[in-house]
Amino acid sequence: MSLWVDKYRPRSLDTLSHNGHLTSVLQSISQQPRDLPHLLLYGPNGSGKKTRCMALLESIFGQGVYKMKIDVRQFVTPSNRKLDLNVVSSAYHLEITPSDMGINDRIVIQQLLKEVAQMEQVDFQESQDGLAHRYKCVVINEADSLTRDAQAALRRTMEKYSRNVRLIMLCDSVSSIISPIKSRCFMVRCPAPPNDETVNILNYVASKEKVQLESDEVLKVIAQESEGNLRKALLMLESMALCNEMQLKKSTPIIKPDWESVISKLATKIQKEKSVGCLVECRSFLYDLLAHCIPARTILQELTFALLRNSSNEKAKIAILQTSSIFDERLSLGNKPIYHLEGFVARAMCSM
Amino acid sequence: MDSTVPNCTSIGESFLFGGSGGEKESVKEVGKNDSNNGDREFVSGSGKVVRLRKRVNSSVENYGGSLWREDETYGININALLDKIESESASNGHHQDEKASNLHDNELWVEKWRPRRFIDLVGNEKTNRRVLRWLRQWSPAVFQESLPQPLYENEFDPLQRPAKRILLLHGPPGIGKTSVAHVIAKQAGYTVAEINASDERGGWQVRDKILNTLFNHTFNQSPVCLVADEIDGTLESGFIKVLIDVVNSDARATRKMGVPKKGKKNRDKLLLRPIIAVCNNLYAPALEKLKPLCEIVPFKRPSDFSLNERLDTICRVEGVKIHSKSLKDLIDLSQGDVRNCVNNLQFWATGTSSQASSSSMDTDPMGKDFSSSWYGLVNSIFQRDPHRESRDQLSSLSQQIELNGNYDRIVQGCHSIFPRVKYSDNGVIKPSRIADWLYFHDLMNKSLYQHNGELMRYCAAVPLQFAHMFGDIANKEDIQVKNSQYEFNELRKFTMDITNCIAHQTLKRSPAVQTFTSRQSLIFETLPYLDSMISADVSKCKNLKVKQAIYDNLAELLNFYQLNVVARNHDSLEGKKILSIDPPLDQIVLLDNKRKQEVLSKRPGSLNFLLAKFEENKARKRHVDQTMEKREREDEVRVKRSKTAMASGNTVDFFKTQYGINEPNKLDTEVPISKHQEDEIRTWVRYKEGFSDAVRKNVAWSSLWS
Repeated sequence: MSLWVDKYRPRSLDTLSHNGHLTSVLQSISQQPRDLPHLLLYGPNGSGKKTRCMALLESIFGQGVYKMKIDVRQFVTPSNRKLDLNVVSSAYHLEITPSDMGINDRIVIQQLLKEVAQMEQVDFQESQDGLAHRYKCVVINEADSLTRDAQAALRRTMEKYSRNVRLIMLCDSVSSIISPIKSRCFMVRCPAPPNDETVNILNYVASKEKVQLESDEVLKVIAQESEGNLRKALLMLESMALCNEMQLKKSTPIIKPDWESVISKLATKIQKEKSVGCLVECRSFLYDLLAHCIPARTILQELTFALLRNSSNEKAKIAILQTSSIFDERLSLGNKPIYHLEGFVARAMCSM
Repeated sequence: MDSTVPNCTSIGESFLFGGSGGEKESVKEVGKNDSNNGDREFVSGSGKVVRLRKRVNSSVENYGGSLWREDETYGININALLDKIESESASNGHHQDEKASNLHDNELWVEKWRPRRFIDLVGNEKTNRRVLRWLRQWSPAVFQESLPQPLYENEFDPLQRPAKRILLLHGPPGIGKTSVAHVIAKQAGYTVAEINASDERGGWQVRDKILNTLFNHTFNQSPVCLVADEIDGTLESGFIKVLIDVVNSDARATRKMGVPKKGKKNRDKLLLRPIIAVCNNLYAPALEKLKPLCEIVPFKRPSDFSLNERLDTICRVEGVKIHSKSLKDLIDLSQGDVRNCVNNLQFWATGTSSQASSSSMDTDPMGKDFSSSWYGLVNSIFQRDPHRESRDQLSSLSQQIELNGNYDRIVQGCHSIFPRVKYSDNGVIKPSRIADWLYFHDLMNKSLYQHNGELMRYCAAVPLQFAHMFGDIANKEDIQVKNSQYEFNELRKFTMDITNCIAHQTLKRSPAVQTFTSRQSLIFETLPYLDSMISADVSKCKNLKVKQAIYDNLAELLNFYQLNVVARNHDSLEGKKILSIDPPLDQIVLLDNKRKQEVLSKRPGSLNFLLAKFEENKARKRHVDQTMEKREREDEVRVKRSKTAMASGNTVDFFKTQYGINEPNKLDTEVPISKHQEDEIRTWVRYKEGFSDAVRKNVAWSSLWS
């Protein structure tokens, strides 16, 4: 196997680690697989949405869901352009990621879902009551990046073909999901694991991998730094262990992704100096971050938090939050992130 | 009479061009020549004057030429050639002048002054020669004439045609691409067949037309050269497909040329006529497939100097008096668009012929919808003129901005250079205030995609705000505007490509694992941490067991993410190769300069260890696989042998029991025999033995699942 994140990923409902009440809900769903509703799992990054989704599928269909393959499907847009799309699928489900197909997601969703919906599953010997396999599951990753058109196209399909298709949608936030879809789905919120649960998980992995721990302190620091992102916490643990000869002490430095450290550096720079020269430096940093595919809104968010952490003045904090919200709106309405990010930097300099 | 020959050309000319007054002139000239060269004139029966020239001894006349022939390196006397051309053009110009005066009212100067010969072409001399050279390379195939060696030859083509069969000229409008194509084709002895956007260019009509022009013989002597004009339109895909088909079938035919033809009728035709294609935008999507088949020649704007010279000639011949400064303005205005220049010149000349005086302001309204370039404009936004009233200046700026219309570019330019100009400010208040205006611009500009660009017109306010806030008297020099947006886009695309590549590879390898990681978390978390893991420096580790474990882990990771350790050239180290990861993970993950330096200094060492480990693992795995395979094969053979042995034993038993000779302990003795057989039978199956060509080979389970 590969990274520890993938190696120690729970594969069935019984082994799911954190947030036990959620697991029990899913277990009760899996008790009567015939009544599986359309699911909408939402929660922050790295909180285990996909893991839960796959574990649920495993409990319904058995181990076969992990035997996945990729096939290349071809779709034809109305303008006669051909689209090639990789579709990951097992015998029981298939997955689509809307961001792979750009603005043509409506066509892909319509064609793919209809294709699945119009084929009745006949191989249902293995299930207990003989009906569980009547439907196939379609997992939609990053459902919040579905366009409005695609979501509108989904809603009738969800009802009409519900006999043969069940949807499981995964997204970070439900704010960009239209309400007709929300009302047709059973919404499950996957919260991020609390710090002590993260520490437990880290402890388990560390003992399995024979990482020598001086104390639990370092794991607590990791849990703190990962901000509830379990994937990040595990990756952090692994890279720290590998870089420090499998021995973690309390003083072991935390490894952070470069982009985060650059943003916090940016924040200190903003607070230290207000001048045009500094603004130009910030601009080059911002361009660099954007070029490395870090979304503009993430940059704004991280920068705001870093600024808040650094400043002690209550008034300044409020001013920063206000500006940040203004520029967040601008970022989502406009097309040119660099103008707005730089505007935020200049405004933040003024408000200091 | 045998010592003289009539010089017929002069007769012809006088017939062609002489009106009533022309003849008189020729008589006068004859008189002059008479005294110089010893020509004689006769009056023919019809009263015409025939001039006869004494034949001069050829050795004397060709003195220069014979000298050249003796010494190959000497070359042709360029001055003599130039003199000749000049005298010719002078006489031609003279004739044109006469014609011009006749047609003054009903011909556009653009058409009239369209270049007719190679030396008439303005600017781009190198490019023009390149076009001519390409066309000349067709000569062996088309005219069956041999070329001097230095014209480089395509050794793969038996007909010695140029390697790329289509010539693609591209460049901004109005700089004479079409003219060059026509002129050079004519110069090289072809008839031009033009297909342009005004012709129907869809489907079968155009196919027939092209095939007719290219492959059928014409009645006039000179062969055809196809000039396909303006091929970058969106509706031209049918036309371009025909061109591609022609070239491809030619490539097939060329390949088959050496091979004797089979009975089947050969449908692929050899392309024996040159094709020249002309377009404005090389990157039009329609041209995507055609480009690799073409020799691409970019055209640049002619230099102001050569353009000035040309306009000067036109003015002189047309009898227009124009100030050299207004001529310069005219050139500035058109930004090197020759056609636009000549057009404007004509209208200016006809409009203001009475009043010869001209100032630079007079020429302004005649420009086509455009004024100075956007970067010039950006600089002028920040430069405040102390001698003009600010209101006046703003209004002229607004006019220029609206004329330019490229609001997005202008605002982008303003945004990129405003921190570098001088202005008075307290801290960063002005930049923070301009952010509101940039937002306004962003919103207005967005309407381009949503409401047919109705709101675009308000964009002009933003550069004026820049002028209002940042304009200062102190800004005098132009600042170079860098297009950082473009670089940024390129870099972003690069990062995206690498990420997609990694995601795709791992997805292919193990979909069940990769499906848990979205593209975003790959960028946010997985790849940065992966990078820091790989760069782990384990060389100082004392505990060998731990070291081994770490290396194993890393090697597995590399294998999983399909990353390779390769020696690669780095930009900052000239010629020296260092070890790094491929695909270049560090380039998409690292942002900090310090860490970037580490890639060069520290990492190669640890990667070196890793590489060794990697190779070792590979070798070990291979070894294990081999032994496993061997063992399995042996097992399989043993099983098979024992089965056959059993079967044979049974048959023997069968017959024996039939005949009553029962040997119960036969099976026990069978085992050693079968073992003995095994060794012999190893060599039993051989490649290409017996009736079929099939290979029989034992396949181990491990080879199926690897």
